[in-house]
Amino acid sequence: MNCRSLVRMAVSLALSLPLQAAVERDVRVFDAVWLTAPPGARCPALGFPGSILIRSPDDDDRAPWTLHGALGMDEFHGSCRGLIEKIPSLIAEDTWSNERNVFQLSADKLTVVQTPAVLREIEAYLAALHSLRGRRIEVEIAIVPPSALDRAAGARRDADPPWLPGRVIDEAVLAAGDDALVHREVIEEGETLGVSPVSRAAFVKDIEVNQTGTTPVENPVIGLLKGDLGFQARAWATPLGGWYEFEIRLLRLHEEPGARRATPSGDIDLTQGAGVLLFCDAPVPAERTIVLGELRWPEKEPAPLAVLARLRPAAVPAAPGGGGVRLLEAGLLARHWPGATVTRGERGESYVVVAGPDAGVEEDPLYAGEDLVEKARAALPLDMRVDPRLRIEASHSHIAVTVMGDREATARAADAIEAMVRGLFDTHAKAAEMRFWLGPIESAALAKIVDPAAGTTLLIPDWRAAIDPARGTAIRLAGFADRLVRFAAARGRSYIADVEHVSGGREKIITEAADPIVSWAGTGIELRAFARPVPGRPWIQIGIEGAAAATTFGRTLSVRTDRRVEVDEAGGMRAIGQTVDIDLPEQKAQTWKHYVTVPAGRACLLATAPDPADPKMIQILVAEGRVLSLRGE
Amino acid sequence: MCGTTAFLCLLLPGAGLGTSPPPESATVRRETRIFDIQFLTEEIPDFPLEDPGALGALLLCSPDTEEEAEAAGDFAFGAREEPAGRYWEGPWADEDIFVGGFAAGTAVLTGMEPPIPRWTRIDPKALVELIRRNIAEDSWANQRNRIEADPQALTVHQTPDVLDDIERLLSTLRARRARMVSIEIAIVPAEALDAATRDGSPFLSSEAFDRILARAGDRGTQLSFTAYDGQTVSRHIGTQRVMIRDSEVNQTGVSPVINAVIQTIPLGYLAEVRADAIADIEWIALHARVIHRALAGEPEIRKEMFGEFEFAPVSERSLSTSTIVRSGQAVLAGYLRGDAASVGSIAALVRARPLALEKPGGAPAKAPAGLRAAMYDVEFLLRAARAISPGLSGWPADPEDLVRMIRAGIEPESWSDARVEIDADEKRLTVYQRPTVHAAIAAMLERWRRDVLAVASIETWILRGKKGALVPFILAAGPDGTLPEKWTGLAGGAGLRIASEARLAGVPGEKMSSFGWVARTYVADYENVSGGTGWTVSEVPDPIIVSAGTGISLGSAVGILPGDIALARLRCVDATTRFDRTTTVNMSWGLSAESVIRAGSPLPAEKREKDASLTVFIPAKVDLPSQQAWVFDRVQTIPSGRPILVEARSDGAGDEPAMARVMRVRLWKGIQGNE
Repeated sequence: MNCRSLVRMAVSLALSLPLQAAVERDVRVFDAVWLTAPPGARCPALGFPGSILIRSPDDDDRAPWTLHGALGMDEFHGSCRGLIEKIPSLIAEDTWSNERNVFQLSADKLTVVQTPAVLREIEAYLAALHSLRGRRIEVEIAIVPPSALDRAAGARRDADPPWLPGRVIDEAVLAAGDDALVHREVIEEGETLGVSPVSRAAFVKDIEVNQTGTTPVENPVIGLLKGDLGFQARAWATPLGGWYEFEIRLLRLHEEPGARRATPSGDIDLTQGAGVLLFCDAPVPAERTIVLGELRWPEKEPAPLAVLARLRPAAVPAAPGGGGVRLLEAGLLARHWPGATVTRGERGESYVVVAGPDAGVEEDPLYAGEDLVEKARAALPLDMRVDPRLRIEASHSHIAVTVMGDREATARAADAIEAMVRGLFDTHAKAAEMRFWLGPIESAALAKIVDPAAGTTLLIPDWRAAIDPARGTAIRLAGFADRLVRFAAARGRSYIADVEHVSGGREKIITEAADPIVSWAGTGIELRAFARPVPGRPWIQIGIEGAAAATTFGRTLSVRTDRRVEVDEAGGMRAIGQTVDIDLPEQKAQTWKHYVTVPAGRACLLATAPDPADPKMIQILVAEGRVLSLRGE
Repeated sequence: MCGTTAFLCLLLPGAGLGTSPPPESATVRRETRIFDIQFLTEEIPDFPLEDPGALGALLLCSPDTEEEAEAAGDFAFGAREEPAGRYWEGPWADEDIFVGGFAAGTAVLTGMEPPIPRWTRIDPKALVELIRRNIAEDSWANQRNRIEADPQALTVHQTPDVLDDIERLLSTLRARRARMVSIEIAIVPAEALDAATRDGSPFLSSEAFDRILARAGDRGTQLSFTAYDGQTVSRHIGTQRVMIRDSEVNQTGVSPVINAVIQTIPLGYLAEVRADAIADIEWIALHARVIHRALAGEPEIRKEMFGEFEFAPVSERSLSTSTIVRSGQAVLAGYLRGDAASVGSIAALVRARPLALEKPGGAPAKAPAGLRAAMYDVEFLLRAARAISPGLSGWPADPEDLVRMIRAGIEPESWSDARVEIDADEKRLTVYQRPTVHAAIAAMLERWRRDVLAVASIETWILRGKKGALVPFILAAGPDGTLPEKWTGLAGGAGLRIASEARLAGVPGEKMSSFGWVARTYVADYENVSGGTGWTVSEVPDPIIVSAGTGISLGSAVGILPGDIALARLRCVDATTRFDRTTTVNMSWGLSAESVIRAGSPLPAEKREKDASLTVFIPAKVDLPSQQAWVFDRVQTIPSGRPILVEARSDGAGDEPAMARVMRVRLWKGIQGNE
């Protein structure tokens, strides 16, 4: 018997058969379409065309700064459906074995035959779910010059958290005038907001060789150059009321066709451009302005900038109270957790692994539903834990708890579990701010800024006063501790890094084809970093992988792409086949891989090196990590 | 009790058998606490150099016969099996067998396993077991108490005092895990070394480090690192240059095709270092490697039928050693200098000190009276003891001996208690015993660690002169080759000049090496490769590119025998290479008939029909370099501190056909201070 038949039979039974006079029953069909529909997901491809570093043409990871696909997973959908499916165990559990009562959830509706009291309970429960599902968040993102932010929020913000008064974003945009870039949109909770860059231009990106046929054939690859702002963003509520988990993948890149390079298979448009990339996850208090990242450096292209965001809850109808089931925000804990995991790493490979679609690694929740139920149960007093009326269910976003028929006990249990959830949240969801400074200082200044009491690692508190900070690159990033922040600011160009020959054919014909390998390299800085407080100690772990590079192009060598020769009268031979010029760029580069534990709030000298441009100067890389309190805000 | 000895020193009030769990009653208050343990369970990554090998090589090799099949500048304790001389191989190509040690009971240096990564993560299950064994041990049988761990969190339901004890334990573990070290490396010309280094001791004051760096001026380079104790970190400072250094043939398709090999070459300074704080004593074991690499001239661009590639002369100078340094002080890892520009001059100094994340202080927690578990770091002790005359020393060289000596030497009767446990591996000693026994173990381990502290330095000089200069110098040496302390005057008087000298300092049994050369790639050979279909055959030439150069490389390891005798293994190559001859070989070049243009037009139609493909021979240039190479590879027993004439030869060519090699080994054992 299929579901439809079951429902039909149940309804017909409910309507036609004489019901016991003592038990009044009713039929309700609830629309479940919206509750169970996943939030939207728009996912433009975002990323730099490549790393600023010159890489081996044989390296598969040619565009490590690209986000593949969507942010995380869409779990809210499964979450609401899961909570609906739990109704028979949360509400009037003992009654569902009575065949007169019906609970039937299909793809688009929920049909229930029950007593009016139970139906009211279910209605209240579903209304609460509707309230959750209907949560909307206004997202505002602004990119402004740091000077505009300074005018709006004051230049002396070293000790301030990145959460500033809500008005700051408006004032910074006003102060920036035409230099500001603003985006505002209202999204559903959990929806992936995808914004594609506005300008586009077609270009011949590459020529690829297709070897699937009998002989290799060459095909042009037509790409789209996309200009200016593109991003993906998503916001979730957290167990801390008034705070959102905000995930953003932002790219501001302006590229244009550069030199056209002739190859035997056709012309390739080499491109040039400049841009900034910021991928981060941050806790954001509602109604406040958060400074997600700041870049100050002496370069003009890309220009220094600050990335600001403000989240505000959009008004939704409040859920009517009075239900016997309490829904507790579990946030983060039961959803995907793209935390940075440190591995021993291999030579030359990244040592940080982050689960998620852009890493091709499956994300696991911190706590699967059963784990969360187990922890919730363990958080209750013993008498309550063994209460047969207690029901706890968990989904990807919420914990539902009830002590059936006892609202007071339900409230007590919910309070205890809520405290446990907040405790778990405190354990896992910490916030941190990282600051990096890379630049030249006079060799003699090093002794002045190093704290003599702490070896050569820690700097004195006012070390910036002893140097010229404007000569270096200062980066300030805020986000969840433990999450990887990716940041890049660079200008660069594509180039022909290699030509690979392949052959194919049969019998009398052999064909060879030359496949130009187009890479990208540039000048600027790129880093992947995370900070993680050490529990119980005033220390912080800082991990950083990155590079600063200055790339010059000029040298080329030619390789031959066919074998034609010319035989002269004397029998001598001369190669006359076509050639491709391979670019041989040179690069001044510093690469870093650091993973250290240092006192929180203290500037730490990660590395020093001679400045290749001036023997009297040295280059230093300074990092500072701060733990940010979410409770205090 | 030496409070810092134990890796896990569980001096927690209320811990151990001496403390009873709180009585079970209705009034016992319990709570659930969640502890973040990710800091303890996560790996600490290593950041080694991406490509730590030498770019070039020194010795010529024969690509076809694999004659002289060993890497220039390389030395190994075992036999090499792989052919060498190719530019992608170098002194570090077979890293694992470099870690030297002495086979017990023999005087032969043998390979030893590589160092074990230190302070690897703590397994959550092991952490739970550790807590259950050490904190309120008897209370965990009560089902009201619970403890569970995943890599992120430790969840415990217990009484508040037990939870507080767990918090204290985790805090102690975090402090252990967070040990950081500041490391500075100064790379200077050997000429910048001053009087502080002339007495032969590798140990320098912190002031001497700064002074030498200042003397080097613009020619000196300082690199600094902050790293975890036991973590390998590295830097590359300089430029990256993309070069086409080779062409290789791809035979995966129907016909072989030739492709350029494009490499990104790091130029400038490369450094890799690891600092291991030696438990309980103020010394740090260092493993350091520095390389300076630069273009030594304009690359030759070779144009061949299939395209162009570059042969760039590259100068490389490198020092690598494993040594020890007193915390806050410096050590001269080594230097190399030669009067030839190809050898150049390089010296490396290292200064290291632990980074104190918190000030020591506070009253030590009171030790419980009952049994408790503790782990001790024994990695350095075992490795060092193994290198010092095993079988004759009073120190344990393997985990079994360690356990045996502790059981026999410390309260032997206490080990008959069925509850006590002792176990050891190459890295850790784990003991479950009474506090008094722990204190005695800690004191014994500390004494042993100090006893096995030792450093050996090996110095070599290469002298050059006319043939007649050798005899008076040989006569000046004693029958065992021993030279007087002031032998340089004798050499000069005989007409021998010091062409190059080097000194390396390192822990006994560990490898030390250095090289300074200018090497370049060249076409050593061509190999023809063919492929095709039933009707069509194609051939392409595959150039075999290898590297050779001019300069010096040396590798050594020193062991200590009884009576201040050193057992030294030294491999030294001194080579001069000339790239002055080439020859032309005709290589097959498979063509389709349409590919051949004769006098501006394709081959005649009848020719094309007859031959679907044809092969022509193209001229290709092969380099035929010549080389003078002095290869010295010996294991010798040498009295500590005495200069020895180890080799004298007069079979060279040119103006200075005579060569003499002098070597001196110095030993510092049982070091108590920064001597």
